[in-house]
Amino acid sequence: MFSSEAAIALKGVGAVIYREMRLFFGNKATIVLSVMTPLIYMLLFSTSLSKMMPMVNYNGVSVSYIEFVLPGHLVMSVLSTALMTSQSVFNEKISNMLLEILSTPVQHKAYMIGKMFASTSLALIQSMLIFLCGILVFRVPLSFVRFLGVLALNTLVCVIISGFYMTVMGLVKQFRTFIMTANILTNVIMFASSIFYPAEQIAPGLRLFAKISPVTYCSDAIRSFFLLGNVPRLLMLLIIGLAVCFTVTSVTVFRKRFAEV
Amino acid sequence: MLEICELVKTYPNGTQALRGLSFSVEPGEVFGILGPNGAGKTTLLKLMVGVLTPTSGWISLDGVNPQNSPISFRKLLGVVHQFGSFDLTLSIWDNLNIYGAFHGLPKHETSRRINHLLERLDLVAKKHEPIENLSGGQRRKVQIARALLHRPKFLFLDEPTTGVDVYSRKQIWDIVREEASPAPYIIFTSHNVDEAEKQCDRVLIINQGTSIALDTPQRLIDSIIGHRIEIRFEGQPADGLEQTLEANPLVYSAEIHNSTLRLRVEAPSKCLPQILECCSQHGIAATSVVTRSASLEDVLLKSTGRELN
Repeated sequence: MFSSEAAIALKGVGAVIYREMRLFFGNKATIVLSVMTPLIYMLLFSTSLSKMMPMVNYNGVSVSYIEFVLPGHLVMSVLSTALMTSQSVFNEKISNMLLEILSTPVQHKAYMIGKMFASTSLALIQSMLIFLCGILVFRVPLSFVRFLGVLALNTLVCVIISGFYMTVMGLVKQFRTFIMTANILTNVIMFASSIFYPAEQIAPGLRLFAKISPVTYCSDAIRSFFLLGNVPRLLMLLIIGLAVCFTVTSVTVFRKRFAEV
Repeated sequence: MLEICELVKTYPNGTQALRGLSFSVEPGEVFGILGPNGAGKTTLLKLMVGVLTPTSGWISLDGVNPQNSPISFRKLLGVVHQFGSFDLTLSIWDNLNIYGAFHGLPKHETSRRINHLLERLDLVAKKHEPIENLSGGQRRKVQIARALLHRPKFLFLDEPTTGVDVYSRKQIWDIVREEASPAPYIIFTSHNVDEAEKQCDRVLIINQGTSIALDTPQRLIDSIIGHRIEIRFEGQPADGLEQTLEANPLVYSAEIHNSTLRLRVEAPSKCLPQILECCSQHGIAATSVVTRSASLEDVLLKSTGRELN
């Protein structure tokens, strides 16, 4: 049985998700841009890089570049959604919307978790569109079980990456500094990971960064399940651990940073 | 009851916004907080709604403390912040509907309350209009509707009628009194002293984070200032006129600016003949005399020693 405060806190999470959905679906331009951006990236990368690298060897299995890069596109769309969500927290602080929300029974924890859930839901919608495009345009083979498995993994990846950006957001004081930090970070973690190419092809200088970047493990886990149908146990444990760790860290940092609004 | 005890707020940069405020507000009371810019009004309001944490001291709304039970505490509140914010691209209806969800109201109750409040605020025709298309006054009304949606017991209003026309101001006050819970606690800050004088049961005047005065508007006016008399005169007054006038127990103060003598007095009908007699003895002849009751604005100017912005 939930205490009444816990029930209200859960309702608060639901209300924050509801608001995010209203904001997203209430703006046609946002919908079109969110749908088009990953698809455009997918078409560009898949057509240009697949000519340079028609086949890729992944853990002893030879796959087409389009099959190889599709999980990377999922992670990339999560990156952009998470970045957008963390920016929106800053905007809401600046516009006093955060003050309005935190003057209601919605508390810091509920606000942050609601934002992360909303970001996850939007990223999952994008993922399904990417899959649809992969299957219909590029004839990528995909079983229903693998589709569901990848979506489940993608949910965890969304939590990790949203938590990561929210933590960064909570640690930076100025909006401008955050935008610059987030842009640099996004580019570095995008290219210093196995999103677009196999890990062994990452430039030597970036390998250390790739090793500590959570995005590397996220794209490895999704790709492993998508191409091989399983995720190594250690990697799976790491993904779950990262999801828990970043959720706790982001909520804690947010509560500390915005304890007073 | 709303109780505030020895409330101190020091910001991390060392600014002492509040320096030990204590007061209580009774059920059904309209309680005004007045003071010049930077006096600590908004800080006090933010502490009362629990979005700031006191450095020391405590706040309690019907025995509920914002630090121990933040959710129960905020369920009791309706708040109109000074710089209200909305989801501008969403309609009035969507904005209010989202707030219903934040307060955990059932959907049908939210819809009923939105329709009712918008009708009372003359906004029904605009309910599907995005907030960004509304005027400043209409946005203020939506803010009021949002604060009243869940019939709060404690209503905190920070400058609630700024940018609102006279008709809407009356409409807002009527609705605020009728649409909160029965016998609501209404706490508001304002720079509009006339409004405070008219609406408040009691007024707290603060300056530099400390309490200067707390009483009903009328008692504050009576006890602090009395009445004001302005006498325009011809001629050059002899030395010592002000001092002679101030020696009268019914005269609080006397000042000469150019050809005008300004006095603050008690019981003007009693002391005016004595004042005019004294003027004549000091070689000046009054050309006009204006007597007016002191207002809350006078109280503020006197007690804070600066203009109210």
